[in-house]
Amino acid sequence: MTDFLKQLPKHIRDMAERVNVCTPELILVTSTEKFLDTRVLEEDRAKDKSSFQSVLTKTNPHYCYKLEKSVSNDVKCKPEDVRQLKDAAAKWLAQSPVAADSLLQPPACNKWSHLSFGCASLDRCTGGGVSTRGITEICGAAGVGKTQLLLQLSLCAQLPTNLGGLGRGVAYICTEDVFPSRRLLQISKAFETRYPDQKLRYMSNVFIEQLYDSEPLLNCVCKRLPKLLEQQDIGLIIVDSVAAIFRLYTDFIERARDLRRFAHALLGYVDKYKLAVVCSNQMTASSANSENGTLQDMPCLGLQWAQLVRTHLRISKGPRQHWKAAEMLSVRKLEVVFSPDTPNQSTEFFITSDGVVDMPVPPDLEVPSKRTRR
Amino acid sequence: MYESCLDTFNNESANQKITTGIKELDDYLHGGIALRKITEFVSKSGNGKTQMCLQLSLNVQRPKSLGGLEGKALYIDTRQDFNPLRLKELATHLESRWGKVIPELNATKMVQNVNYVCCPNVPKLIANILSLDRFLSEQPDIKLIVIDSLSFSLRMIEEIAERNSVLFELHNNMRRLLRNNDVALVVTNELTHRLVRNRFTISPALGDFHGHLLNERIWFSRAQNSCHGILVGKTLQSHKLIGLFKIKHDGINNAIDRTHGNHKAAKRTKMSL
Repeated sequence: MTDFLKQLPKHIRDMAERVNVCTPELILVTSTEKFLDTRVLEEDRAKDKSSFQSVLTKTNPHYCYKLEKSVSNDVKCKPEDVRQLKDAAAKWLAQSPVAADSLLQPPACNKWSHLSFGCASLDRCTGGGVSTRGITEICGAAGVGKTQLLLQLSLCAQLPTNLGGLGRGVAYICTEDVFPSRRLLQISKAFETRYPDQKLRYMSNVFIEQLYDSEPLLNCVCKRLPKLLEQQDIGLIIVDSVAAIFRLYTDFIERARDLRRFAHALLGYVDKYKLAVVCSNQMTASSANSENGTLQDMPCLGLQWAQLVRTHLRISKGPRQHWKAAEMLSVRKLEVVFSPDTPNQSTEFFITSDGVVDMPVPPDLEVPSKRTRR
Repeated sequence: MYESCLDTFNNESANQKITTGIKELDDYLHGGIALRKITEFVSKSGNGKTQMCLQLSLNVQRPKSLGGLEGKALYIDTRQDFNPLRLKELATHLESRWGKVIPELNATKMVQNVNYVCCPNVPKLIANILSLDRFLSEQPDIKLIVIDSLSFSLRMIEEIAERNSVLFELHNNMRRLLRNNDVALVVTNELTHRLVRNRFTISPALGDFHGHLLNERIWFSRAQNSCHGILVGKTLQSHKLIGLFKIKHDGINNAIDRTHGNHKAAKRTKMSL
């Protein structure tokens, strides 16, 4: 960033260039000591690998210093200079705060939009659908219908905004099994009958990637996905599922680090391209929270992943069943476990050949209108 | 010059606090969140940290005639958890309570008094914190700064030494800010597993060093009947439960009905962090 450095006095510019920290971002995260350290760089690395100093500076480009080397006297930097440099970098990068009521009006309010599920009861329960802020997690036991819901979301995302969609494409990262393209076609046919005026080619707007390992997943999310986002207008990123890959880790610290890297990359895209991100998660049995050692179902990937998501939805399959058009369907339940937008409420739905649909309301029963929070 | 302890005590008691809306917590904090101090809220996801931060951004605007600060708030968001619609909903409920005292303080004005900035990564967060001095001189009414959440961004730095040096410099800057300005700083934090004597135990993120530099640490936990517990104390071993609260559509409410003396119910309530 030559424009940024040009405005600074010469001795400060030299100080930054000497430690090779020239962008405002790097300047802010570099410690003051590094700027003030005027010892001459040692060319060869420390021979003794086990020394404390070499371990500490393993990732530092300036390897182990040898104190016998002379301190260069012509460059004398003061802490005030470093503070001036950091203040200039902060001024360059800082954004001025805005009053929160301007966020309620366009264009800022578009950041807080929702992507409809295509099912009225689910939209009511989640405050409009999937939020375009943060990561939404959908977790549930095997076979409850997470993938079905995600397939329906990938079609809804392509609908125009007046119908609850985003009018943009979908990137679908599949980590469990083969992508169910036939089922997507089946639901898209149902959508064509539901919205006959929308002449959308649903199948061609969904970009699929099948990955089964953590390295390719991180490579895809960090390096290849930005290229796709630049070329195509993507409004929704789906990862089905996160658990399948991260459950294979044996080192928890490494898993936490990779999960953070993964979430950080996705959140960067949410902010830059204003899209929605949905990840699905599996359930595991654990006796950690129960007092008498009984196994309880809880989401996989533990505390670290739970803190990276913004909205947590849980799907379960009820024992209740319902007759619909000579078919016996299981009632599914969607519960909002936590969300900044809505209270913890739940609702029921079905999965039919047409996709995810509302529960039918019996015509003779008077259903009291549920008080919706908006 | 030196001032006596009695003067300091009188000054502190005279200083106004920002009420939290929960009586037990206000009693413990001698009135509420104190100015010129760093208060931290730590809990697992979904226990009400962000809701409490939104509530505080409105409580700081409480009229002086009702014992409040009549100030403004600044919300620094790193997690994209902020929701202006929820803020508006809370403001509408407060309007009905305070509108009788100050008619011109309506919900729109209250939402306008909350300033918002989004910091999706660490350099932006540091840049905004370093620029706070300048912002506060332009807007002297600001009495509350919320950083939600500090650890979310900082934990993205993978190298622990680098993370600690950034955290140290941030603390330096925050303390300098609190010395020069009459504001309260509220920070939220997350929980993590730490290896203590070969066992993983749950403890707040960012380490003990950060814990020492805070003035107050308040934990939220999940209790039965969709209540949340409030625990105070800097470490898991030393904390104690002081009350319960519920998050409803109109904000944070006391969960215990004091008229029926249900204090024992709080002690019996099963807590899970």
